[in-house]
Amino acid sequence: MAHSHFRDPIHGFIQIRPWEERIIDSKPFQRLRGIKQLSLTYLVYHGAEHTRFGHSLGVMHLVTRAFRAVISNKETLFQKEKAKIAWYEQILRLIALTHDLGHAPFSHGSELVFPDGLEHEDFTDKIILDTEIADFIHEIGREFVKEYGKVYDITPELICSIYHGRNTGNPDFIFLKKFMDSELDCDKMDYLLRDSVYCGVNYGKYDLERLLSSLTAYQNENNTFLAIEKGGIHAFEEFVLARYFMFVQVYFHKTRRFLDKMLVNFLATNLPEGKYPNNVEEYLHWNDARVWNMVESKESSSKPAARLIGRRIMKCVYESPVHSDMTQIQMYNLIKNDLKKLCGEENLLLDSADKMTHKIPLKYEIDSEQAIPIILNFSEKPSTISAESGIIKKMTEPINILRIYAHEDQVEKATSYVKQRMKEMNE
Amino acid sequence: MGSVVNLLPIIEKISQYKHPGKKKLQKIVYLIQRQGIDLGFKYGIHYYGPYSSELDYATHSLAMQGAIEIIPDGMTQRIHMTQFAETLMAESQDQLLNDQQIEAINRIIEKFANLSAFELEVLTTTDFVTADLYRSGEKYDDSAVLAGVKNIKGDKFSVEQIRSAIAELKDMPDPKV
Repeated sequence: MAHSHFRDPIHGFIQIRPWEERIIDSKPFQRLRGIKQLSLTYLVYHGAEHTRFGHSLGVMHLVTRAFRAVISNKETLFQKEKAKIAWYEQILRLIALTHDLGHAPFSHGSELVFPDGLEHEDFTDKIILDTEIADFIHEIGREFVKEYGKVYDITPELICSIYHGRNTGNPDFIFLKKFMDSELDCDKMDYLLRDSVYCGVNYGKYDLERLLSSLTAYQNENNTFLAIEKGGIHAFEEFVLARYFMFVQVYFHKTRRFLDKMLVNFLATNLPEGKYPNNVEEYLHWNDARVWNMVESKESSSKPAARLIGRRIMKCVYESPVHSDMTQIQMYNLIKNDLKKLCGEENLLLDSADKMTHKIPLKYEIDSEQAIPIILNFSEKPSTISAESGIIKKMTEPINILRIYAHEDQVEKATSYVKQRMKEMNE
Repeated sequence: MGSVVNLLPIIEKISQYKHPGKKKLQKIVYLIQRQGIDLGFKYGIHYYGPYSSELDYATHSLAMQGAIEIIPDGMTQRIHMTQFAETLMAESQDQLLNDQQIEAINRIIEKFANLSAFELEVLTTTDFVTADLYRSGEKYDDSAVLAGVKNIKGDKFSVEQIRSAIAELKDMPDPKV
């Protein structure tokens, strides 16, 4: 059957296989067109209207390129077994295509109102296992069984179990998972470029071609690791820097964080029992438009709704340095406690970067599960980006931005107090 | 994911033992959850046994809040609580585990925290494979567990080490399906 193409603003033509097209055309996948990738960031960077739909296609495209680069650079991998390589590639494509199906409206922006104990990954599983997506994955599996044999079946359960690391049947599955969940995975590769373009900023850009061409595999006696050749270290540096700058400038932007908090406050008091439904059929009816309609309808009765509609932002009266040390954390706590007494706790809103740790580049040792080994020319033992790059060493120190916002009535009082406090501390 | 503050007493207790690093914390929290105390961290099988990226992020989150310190120590890291941890726990009273749960956690830590990171890796990997076999719904025995661990870990663990782990895990509750 002929392959079709999607024209993607980031990657150009993205090739789609026939049964994948059925998945893309399904209702659960089409819902992703209505889930913005960056929540309410478009109220700050107006171009950020892109959705999980394009991102999911982009990750599938990149994971294919990344896997093929590794196969090409490490010729001994999988002993050139055609069936196994085709099978692994298809598994990765399906994981990438479906990995965000369970996102809530406004993506991470409203995750705090999931039913108790559930996360978007749980809804992704439910959607893969319990909707028509399951049928289409089975069809792909049937094609593989027909062409390569029974052991090459692909099922919805297999896709979920590999992505969540629940499958102990094949050590290669751990290796495959690293393409989607590691210090250098295709999810991050796509969203950095995509978010950067749509936000109209340059911070998230890096040399994708060099990075992909440097991907390889490192094998010891027990495992196969997704790795990078020494020649790709500067592209890897750029990638980590891109993540750092995007975190500081976009993902943790003070206005976006404030608006996200308003959205959560609104949903917690306006959704039935303050949560999204647990039932997958009902959950699939929720998208950004439905939430925004609710917000609009409550503008006169809900303070968070009024702030969202009118884009009325509480002023940030204090912000700690990006890499706050213990003294600076103590200073923040002191100011916070004094402002609570001075302005009233109800007139303040606190926010900290620790709520978004998954977006921050972190320092990983070589034996960390998330680390990507760098193959060195002069040593049999691989290294890590934090050890090899002086720049990255600094970038992966804990990011600790702490913010205090004040209600409009209290801004003058709070600002003047903070200024006086800072003056005293600097004397 | 549950409240990250509940990691603090666990970290405090583990830091009284040898090599209290992130790897040991990963395995101990895994064993605590397998004994039925749900701290809300999801685990998958990785290169060094069961691992939770959520727990990794939670640990970094506590470090960012100044409640713990993660100190590089050769090839690995040490981890311990700071004075600010007490303040954070006092601020989060309503989210803390009850005394009975803390006692149960302490018993588990006392039982396992003396083990090295490698020994914990053998134990938890064996348990993870057992749980995977259990969830498959098919009948299995010790030899199937042994074969499963060998399949995923190659020769990293000896047959004796796996058998000893199987024996150690005899009283482990059935996993959630």
